[in-house]
Amino acid sequence: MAYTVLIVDDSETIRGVIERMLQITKLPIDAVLKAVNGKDALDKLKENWVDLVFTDINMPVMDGIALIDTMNSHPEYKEIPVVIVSTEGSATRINQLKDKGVKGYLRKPFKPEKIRDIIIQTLGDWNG
Amino acid sequence: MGNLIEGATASICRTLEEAAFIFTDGTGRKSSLEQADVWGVALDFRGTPSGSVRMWIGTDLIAVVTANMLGIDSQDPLIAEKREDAIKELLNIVVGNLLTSLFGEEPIFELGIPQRCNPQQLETDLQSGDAIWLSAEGSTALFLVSIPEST
Repeated sequence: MAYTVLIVDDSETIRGVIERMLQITKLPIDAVLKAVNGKDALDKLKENWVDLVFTDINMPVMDGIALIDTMNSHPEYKEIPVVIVSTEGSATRINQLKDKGVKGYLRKPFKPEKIRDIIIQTLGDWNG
Repeated sequence: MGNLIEGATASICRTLEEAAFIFTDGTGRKSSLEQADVWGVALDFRGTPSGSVRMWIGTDLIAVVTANMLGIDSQDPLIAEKREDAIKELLNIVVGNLLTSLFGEEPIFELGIPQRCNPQQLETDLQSGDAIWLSAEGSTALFLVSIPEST
């Protein structure tokens, strides 16, 4: 089975970095979708099946937290695992996000092994 | 302020290395930036405390940073198109890591959106006694960490 991943970040650089790292992991990622903010991500979710979402927190128009809250309130999206990709290191923030059901947290900068581990852990849990 | 600059310098150097594979030392020279084509990027943050970070960096080094972050050649024509976003994101990563390094993992900070600086600001920043001067790839980068409550 191959998966579809949605990357949500207002930085084109980071979207490219994550996509490149997904390729390096050689995990069965069939398609990589990209969105520039939470609103764009919701538009992508309406039109595509998505297995995993990577999202930044700080984004204009709609930030990552608002995206997570919207996904949690939507029956079709609430079960999609979400991994945060952020520069923030606040344990307080991370715990808040875990309370919202976030499955993982990637602190920028990160290495391909870290993204691989978190995908295996997240999709494994999701499939389990 | 001295401890802040020392801590900030260590954090910035570490982040440049990990995020952009740029290895720095503290031998950056004002004259390099005065003579170079230089871009400035600033990011404000809100929390306890609030403040801002400005980064001035020559376009030669910007090209290297962009190439390293994107995994492309520094001569690639795409550099011109991608560099502004790359350098803004680099500052975003620098500040996020800097705040944790300086203030620990408890406080929550709200980071603003990185913005290009007015070039006229460079002249003032070059004279700042709190500037962090770094040298990398034969170029100089200047960082100014401004946390008013800590002065």
